Amino acid sequence: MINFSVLLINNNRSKAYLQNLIKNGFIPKKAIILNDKNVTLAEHTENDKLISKDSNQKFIRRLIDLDIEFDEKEHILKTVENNNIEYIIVDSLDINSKEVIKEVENIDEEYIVYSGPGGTILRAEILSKGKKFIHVHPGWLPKFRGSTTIYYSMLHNSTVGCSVILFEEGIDEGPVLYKQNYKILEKQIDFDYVLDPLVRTKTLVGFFKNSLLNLEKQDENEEATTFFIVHPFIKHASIIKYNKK
Amino acid sequence: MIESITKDFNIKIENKYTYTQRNLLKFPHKYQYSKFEGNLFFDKIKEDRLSSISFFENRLHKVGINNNILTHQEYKFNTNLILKDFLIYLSNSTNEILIKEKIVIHLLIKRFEVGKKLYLTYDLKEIRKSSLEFEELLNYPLFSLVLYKYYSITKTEERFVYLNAILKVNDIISSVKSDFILSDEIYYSKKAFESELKIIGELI
Repeated sequence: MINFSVLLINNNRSKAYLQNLIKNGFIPKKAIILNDKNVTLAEHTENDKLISKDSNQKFIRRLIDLDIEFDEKEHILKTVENNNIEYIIVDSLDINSKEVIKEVENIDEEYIVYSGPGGTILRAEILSKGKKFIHVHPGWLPKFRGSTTIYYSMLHNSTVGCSVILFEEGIDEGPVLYKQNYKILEKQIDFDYVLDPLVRTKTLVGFFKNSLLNLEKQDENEEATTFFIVHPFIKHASIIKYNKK
Repeated sequence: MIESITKDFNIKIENKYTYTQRNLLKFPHKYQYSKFEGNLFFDKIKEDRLSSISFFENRLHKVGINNNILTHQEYKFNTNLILKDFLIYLSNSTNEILIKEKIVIHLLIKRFEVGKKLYLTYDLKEIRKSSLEFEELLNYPLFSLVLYKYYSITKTEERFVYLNAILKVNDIISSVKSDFILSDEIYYSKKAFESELKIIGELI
């Protein structure tokens, strides 16, 4: 089994990762939690700012097809405390800041599961600290590199690919550790806040269950395409096509 | 029925396409986590594009139609690529040339997606902006039309990279359309929207 720590922000992706890793017996040694109280990211739901770690409310988000779920109203601080996971809160959302780099250096484990702010590039300094960042990219690599690839792949062939990679300096160019393709048949699923985190989580848990650190280089025969933040028209075309099928 | 409910409960429904309501060259849009608006969104974007076409048609009548055939000069100047000449060159090129220039186009898309502007010149080596000037308005419809050519000859998922950039460039054009005053700018902007509407029609 891999010894690992986690780097999180309080969003749906982190909640889904943490709750499901723990449920499957994969307990991180330590959690670095990035939390700038004055900043709300686009990826935060309206619940993220309102729910405290003492809340007992529940809001289960589920993907029946993949048999996976998480509680959106369970703050990540509550999850780490309930499971006696050592944690440190860093008052910054900048993954490349001195404060975050210092905490990364303090971690004993070689592997860190990354669930920091989306769309961030880890710069050379943080990548030079001897840690390997495990990242789950919601796209079949190298065919679907870049941003919001779920929408493009759903529009293209009604599937969602997902790849576990190690972060390197290029965008989604690190070695692929594990990848899966999913056909989602159930309808009316929110892509951003439910499908994306749960598909990533299913893949992450699948990787941990296999726990073979296979540092496969991305297939160079397969053509790589880099996508950028999806325009609302493509987003709508993708969601509406998927709900019609 | 819906009207009376929205009136009684003082609910405001946004009927306009919101992505072109401000000058996108001054205030670029990031498009992060955009709101899902259902089928109504398609009507809104089509309305935005059709009204832009109508705007350009009217303006074209006023300024007069010249032959609107663009010829390019050499697009390489010292170590720079002159965007307008490069785009005109690609507009008049065969599919073979388009494929040959794909790497440069992908780098231009990348630069555009990051900065949401098209600059007068780029360095030839890395296709990074080598000018701070981004108000050559003809570049925007020309870029959109060149990307339409790429979209048309691409059958893989890569075509959505082109479409994504077309939609964003056309949002910019729509948002600053009153600044387009030269015949070529108007003529090619109208063509850019017409081409984009063909794709929209195929996908919905």
